Amino acid sequence: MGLKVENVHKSYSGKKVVDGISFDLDKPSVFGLLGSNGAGKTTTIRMILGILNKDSGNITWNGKEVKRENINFGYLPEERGIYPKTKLADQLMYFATLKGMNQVDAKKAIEYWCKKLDLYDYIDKPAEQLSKGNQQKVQLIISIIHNPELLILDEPFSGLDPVNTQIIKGVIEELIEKGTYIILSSHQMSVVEEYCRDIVILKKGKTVVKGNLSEIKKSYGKSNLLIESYEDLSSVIPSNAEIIEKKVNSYEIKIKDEQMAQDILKSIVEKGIKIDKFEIKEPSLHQIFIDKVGEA
Amino acid sequence: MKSLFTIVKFTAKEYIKKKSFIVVNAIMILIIVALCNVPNLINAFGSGEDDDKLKVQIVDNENILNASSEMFNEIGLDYDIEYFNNKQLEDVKKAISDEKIDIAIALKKVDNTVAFDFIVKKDDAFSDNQTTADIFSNIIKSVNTNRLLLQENASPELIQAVNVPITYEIQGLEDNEGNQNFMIAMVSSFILFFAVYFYGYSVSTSVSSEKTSRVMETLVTSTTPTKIVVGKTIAMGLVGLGQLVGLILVAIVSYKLFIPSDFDIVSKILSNLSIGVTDVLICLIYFVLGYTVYAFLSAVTGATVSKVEDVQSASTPISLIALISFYLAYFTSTTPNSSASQFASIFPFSAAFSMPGRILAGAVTGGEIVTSIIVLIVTAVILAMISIKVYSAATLHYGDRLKIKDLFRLYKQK
Repeated sequence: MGLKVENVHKSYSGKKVVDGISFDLDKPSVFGLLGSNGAGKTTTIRMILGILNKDSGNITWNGKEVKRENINFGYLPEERGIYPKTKLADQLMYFATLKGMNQVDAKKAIEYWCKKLDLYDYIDKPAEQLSKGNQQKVQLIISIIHNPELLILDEPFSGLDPVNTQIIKGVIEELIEKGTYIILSSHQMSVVEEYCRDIVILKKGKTVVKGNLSEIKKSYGKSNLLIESYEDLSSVIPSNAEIIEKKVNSYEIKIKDEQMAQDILKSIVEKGIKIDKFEIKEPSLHQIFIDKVGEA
Repeated sequence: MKSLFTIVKFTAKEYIKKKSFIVVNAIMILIIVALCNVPNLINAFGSGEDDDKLKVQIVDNENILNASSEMFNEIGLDYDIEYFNNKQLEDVKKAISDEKIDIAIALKKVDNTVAFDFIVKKDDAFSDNQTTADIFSNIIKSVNTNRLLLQENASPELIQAVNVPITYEIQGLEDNEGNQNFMIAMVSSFILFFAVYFYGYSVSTSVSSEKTSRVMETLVTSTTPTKIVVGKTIAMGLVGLGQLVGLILVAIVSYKLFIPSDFDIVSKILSNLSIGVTDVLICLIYFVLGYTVYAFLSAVTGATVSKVEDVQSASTPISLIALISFYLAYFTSTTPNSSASQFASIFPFSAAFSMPGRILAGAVTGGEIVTSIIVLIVTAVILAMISIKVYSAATLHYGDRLKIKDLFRLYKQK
């Protein structure tokens, strides 16, 4: 049950934009749809939403072909858009009633979400008077006001300050608790790692990584070494080591095997360098993404 | 159905709340009220009833007519006439030069018959001196006849009988009902053209503004493109119809309130017309169908651009079709029975501009009306189907304006 995408293809003027994508969401959770710009994420989303026809393949919701009539979905597009001159309450009511809500339920939902997202004070203001972050929250309310079964969030955190990011994270957690199926498309890998059980990474329309995120990471093995210290670590890092990330007080390098890590630790002890953290870990999603999408 | 109603309500409400809509309507109402007050303004700025009349001095120093000012004023009701037996012609001419009077008539005898010099300040091709002189020729003739009858001791009854104006009635041998309706046909053509074109264009801007604000993507996932296109078309049509009816009501009320009863030209024109309720209903049907055809075309135009500023240039092909169709209807309206006119009233893009006028001119058969309405409905349905399909594909396209070949490509892909 849930959403099933099977071997879906789409071409524009003979150019493959989506090439045999398959994945499924069998229980309420967050699914990560990842890929670089132009990888085919938005086309995939539009085909799931039924606003674009697929060339071949199947997209089903609870065993039935995805159509507006048999799925109650919400969509937060990457390109934010609301009516600039229209009052917040009016446009929320417009979209809520368009999605089939009656006026009474819509009013209650508008009040609930506006209060939850700190927008209630602006309810009688035209949208253009709101800050960009607040406009983004309005857009999020539009996508969830009707309690969708399937919610697609395309870059929900872009342009948000940490406070608003935290508020929206709270909303996502609430929706997961309510049993919403969520597809999250984002370039913020830390967020994807935080919420997504399963992911798919697209590159030029093709699936390059697919499956359970923790299993994907495990399959890479504990191939990373993270060392944090306020002292200079350059003398203990082997000159031939592949540096993944270098920060002011930390190094993350790729290790061939556990022995390589042991050798570095020995060198640190010998040189008397004080360290705050020494961790052999799985690669981050960020690294996997760069590995898979970045390679030719 | 519920969401269609929601779109109609929201689109119409958003449009009538616009400042430009409010200002345009306020200006239109002011113009209507001002036009209805023109007769009152003319009266208010005039200094009295006498001032409207031309001042005429008749100088009869030879006492040919032996008349009085009263005798002239009884006949020449539209003029302020003074009759003198003893006045220097030079003084009268000076009074004309000084614009104290308008006309001087110097009576004289030529070959023992009454003649006169008609003296005005300026006689040019644009003046109506000839007409006025003819009128005074008749006035003087009447006064002279009365004088002669009195000299011959004619009875007052005879004199009165001679002076009774002869009434007359003009009868055209060919049916002239159509000609009387011609003005109304032209006016209806104009109104329909502006309404159809303007509100069709508004559908275009409404669609493109949703693309500009990027609200389109949310909208097409909230309801179907069919409902969006049809809803917007209905909404703008209702706003247009409402505005038209509202302005006509303002005109009727202003007319009743402000137009003086002695200035009632319109009711004189209308009394000669034979417009029935059916005619009005048919005109309404043509407005709705004509508007629908152009609105669906405009919806596609709006969807092909990414910015509202580009709507104007993207609408050029539709503007050309509308203008050519309007002129076709307009120029053939003078010959409502010609085959060009028949073509204009069947051709779907010009039918709405041409047919109402021809119906009012009484030059159409029932069969022609039915054919033309069927052609319009079929065209509207085909255009609706095409526009909805192109719209749903084009709305998600951002960037350069889509060309016709791109639309064909999108049409096939969607």
